[in-house]
Amino acid sequence: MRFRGKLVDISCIQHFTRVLGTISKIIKSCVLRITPTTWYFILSEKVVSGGVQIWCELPQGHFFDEYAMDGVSAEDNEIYLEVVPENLVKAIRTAQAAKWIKIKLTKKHAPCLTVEVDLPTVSAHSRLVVHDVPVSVVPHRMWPDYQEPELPQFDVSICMPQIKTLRNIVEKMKNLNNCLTLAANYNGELKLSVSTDMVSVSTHYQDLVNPVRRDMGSDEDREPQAFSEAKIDIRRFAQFLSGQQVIPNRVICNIVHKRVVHFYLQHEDVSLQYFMPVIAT
Amino acid sequence: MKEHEFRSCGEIILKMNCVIPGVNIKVFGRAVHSLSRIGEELYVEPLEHGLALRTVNSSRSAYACFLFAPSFFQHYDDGSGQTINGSGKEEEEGEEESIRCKIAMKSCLTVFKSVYTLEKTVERCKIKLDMNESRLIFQLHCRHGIVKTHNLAFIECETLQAVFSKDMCPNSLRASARLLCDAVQNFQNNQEEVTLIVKPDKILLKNYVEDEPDPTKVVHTELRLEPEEFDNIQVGVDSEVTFCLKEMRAILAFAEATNLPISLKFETAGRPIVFSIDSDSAFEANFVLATLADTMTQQRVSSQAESKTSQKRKYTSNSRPSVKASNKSQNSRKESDSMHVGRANKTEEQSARINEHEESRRKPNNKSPDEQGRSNRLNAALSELMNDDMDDVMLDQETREEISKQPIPPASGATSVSGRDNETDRITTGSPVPSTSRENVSPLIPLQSSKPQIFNITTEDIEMKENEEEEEEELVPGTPPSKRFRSMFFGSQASTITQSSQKALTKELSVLAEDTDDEG
Repeated sequence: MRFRGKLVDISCIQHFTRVLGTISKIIKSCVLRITPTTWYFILSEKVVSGGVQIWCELPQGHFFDEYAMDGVSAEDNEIYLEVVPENLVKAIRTAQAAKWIKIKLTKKHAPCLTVEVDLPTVSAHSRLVVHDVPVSVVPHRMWPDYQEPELPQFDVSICMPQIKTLRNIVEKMKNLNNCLTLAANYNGELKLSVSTDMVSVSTHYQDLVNPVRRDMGSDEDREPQAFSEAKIDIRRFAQFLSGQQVIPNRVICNIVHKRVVHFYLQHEDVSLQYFMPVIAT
Repeated sequence: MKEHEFRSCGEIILKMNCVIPGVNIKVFGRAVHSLSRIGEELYVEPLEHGLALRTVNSSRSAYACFLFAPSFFQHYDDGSGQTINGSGKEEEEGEEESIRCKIAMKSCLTVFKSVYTLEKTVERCKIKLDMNESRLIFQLHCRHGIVKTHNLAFIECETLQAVFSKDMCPNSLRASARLLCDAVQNFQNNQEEVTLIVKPDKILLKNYVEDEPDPTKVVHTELRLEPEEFDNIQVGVDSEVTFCLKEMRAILAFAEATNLPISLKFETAGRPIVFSIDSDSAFEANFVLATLADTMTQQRVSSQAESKTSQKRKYTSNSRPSVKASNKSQNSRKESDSMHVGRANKTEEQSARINEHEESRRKPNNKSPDEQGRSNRLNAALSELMNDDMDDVMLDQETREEISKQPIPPASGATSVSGRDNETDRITTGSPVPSTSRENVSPLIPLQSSKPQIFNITTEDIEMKENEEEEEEELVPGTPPSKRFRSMFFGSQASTITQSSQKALTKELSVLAEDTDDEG
C-alpha cells in the first residue's frame, strides 16, 4: 500500500482545507477511501448508534498536482483508512499560504498520513513542518461496510434555500425543542417547524425549485400540495448547517415520508450526501 | 497637572507612586495580560531600579517577571525614600524596607481589560500603593477629563523570586517574535508541551506526546527551523528541552504585540529555560519555565525494577482493603507524632509520586489484570497532579509522612523474609542522606533517584506488599515516563507555610536568601 499526493496551487490548498473543514465539523471519525481517481470520506453508522450515513466525494484531479497510489492489490486498487478529519484539518490549517503540501501514507509510530508543509517565510529559507496524523488501516474484509449507500425512493425532492438563513432559523429553533419537523411538497414549499407544549413555531419557504428526477414517472399521481415530512434531531441539523465552510452550488433535500432525510450538496465536482434518520415518535 | 503629595521625608508609612505616560500604557497593559495567562496572583514590588510585576503559575513550574525601569514612567517613586521627578537618575540608597504586595490577577486584569481602548483613550495612568490605606490604586486619566479609579485590595507578602541564572547557559537563541509565533501556530491548541531540540545545524520543535494515554492516537508534529532564521544562535551542548506551551504562548503574545525579539537561554533537560525580552531599555521581561527532567534515567530504572517483578507478584492476592484503611489511620497518627527530622532535599516530583501512590491505592479495582488500563489511570492521576496546585503545606506533610516512616523499622514478626529483603534494600537507598546537592550554589534541585522510595512500613506487612505491588504497577513496561518538572520557586512561600511545616523548609529558605536579592 502506497500513497502520496502533492498540492501546490494555493487555491486548491484553500479549497481542500475548506472541504475538509466542513467534513470535520460534521464527522468526528470516518473512513477515508483512496482510489486512483477519488478521495471518499465515508461515515456509515449502524442503526443502533444513530444511523447517520455520510458519503463525500472529492475527485483527486481537482486538488492534487501529483498523485500516486498503490492499493492493497492490483485488482483492489484502493486504500481504506480510518481517520479523524479534524486532525487533518489542524495539520493543514497553518498551510494556507504554503508553497506546497505533501500528503503521504507512512509507517511511523503507527500508520500515519504524514502531512508535510513547506511554510512561507519572509526570507528565502525553507521552513518545513511535518504532521504525522495517525490513521488505522481498514482490513479488506470490512470494506463492504463502506459501500455507497443506496438512494431510496424519495417522496419529495426540493432545493434548499440559502444555508446561511436556514442556519439562523434553526439556531433559534434549537432553543425550543430537540426535534424539528422538515416538510416539503412538489409545489416548491418547504416548512420547518418545531413545537412544544407552549408554543409551535414554523417557517415557510415558497417558490423553491423541485428538481426533476429521471425515475420520477411513478409519482405523477401525487398531489403537488401534499407535504411529506420527517422529524429530525435539531442539533444534528444545526451542526450540519453551521459546519458548511464551502457555499455549495446546490443543496437538495430529499425526504422519504417519516423515514429519512437525505441532503445532497454539490459544489463543482465535490459532492456530499448526508442521510439523516428520523426520530421515532 | 502635577500631582502634589503631602509627605514628610522621614515618614515611616511607605508610599509608592508612579505615572505611566499614555504611550507606554499599551506595553504595561500587554504585560498584565501576558502575566494573567500564567498565574492567578500578581506580585507588585516597587524597587529603586523599577517596578517589578511578577507571577508564578499554580504548579510553580513557570515564573514571569516584568521590570519597568524608572525611565518607563513619567514619574517614578518607589516609596523607599527620596522622591525623584522626571526620569529617574541618581537615587539615594534607602534601607531595604520596601513595600511588596500581591493582588488577584483578575482584579488587575479588569483595569487593563481592553488594551485597544486603553491605547486610544488613556493619557496617563497613575499607580499608587499606599500602605496606610491598604489599597493599590490604579487611576486612568482618559481623554475628555474622565478619570477611572480602581482601588484594589492587596495582601502583603514576601518577594517572589525564582532562582535561575541566564548568564551561565551554554545555549542561547535569539529570534523575532514573529518567527516563534509562526512556529508555535503549527501546534494544536490542546497540546500541553513542546520539545525544543537544538543542534548546531538544526533547530527542531516537536510536540511532546509521551505522556498521552495512547501515543499512537496522537498527531505528531515536527517543525524544522533553519538556524539562519534566528537573529543569534549559540549552541554549547546539544540539548532537548521540554516545556509547557501555554506559558510560551503567553510570552509570545506579549512579544508579538510589542514586536520585540526574544532570547531563549537554556541548558539541558531538567534545567529551567529562560525567555527574556530585554531589547527595550525601559523595561525587561523574564520568563522562567521548568523543563521536563531527562527521561533516560527513568527508563533505566524501570527496566531494573522490572526484573524484580516476578518475585513480588505472588504477594498480590492476599490484600485486604479493610486492613489498608486501618493502616492508613495509623499512619496519619504517626505522622503527627514525629516532627523531628528535617529533610531538605525533597522535591516536588517526589511528592507527586507519593500522591500517585495514594491515588492508586484508593482505586478499588486495584487488582485488575488490565495493565494498559492501569497505566492509563496512572497517567490520568499524574496529569491531574500536574494541574494540581502543589500546595506547600500538603507537600510538606508528605515529606513528613515519608520521614516518619523511614526511621521506623519494619515492625512485627509478620514480615515475610523475601519481602523484607527487598524492603531493607530500598530503605538504604532511600534513606535521608545529608543533602549536599541542595546546598550547592547552583539553583538546580537534584533529581531524586527516579524510583519513589516511599513505603508505609507499618505493623501489617500486607500493606507493605501492596506498596510493592503498586510500584510494580507503576513500572509496567511501555508505560510512559511520568512527568517531572523540577521545582524552582521559592520565596513568597514563607507567608503561606503553616507553622508546623516551616521546619522542613528552613534549610531551603536559608539557601535561597542569598539569591533572592539580585534579580535577573
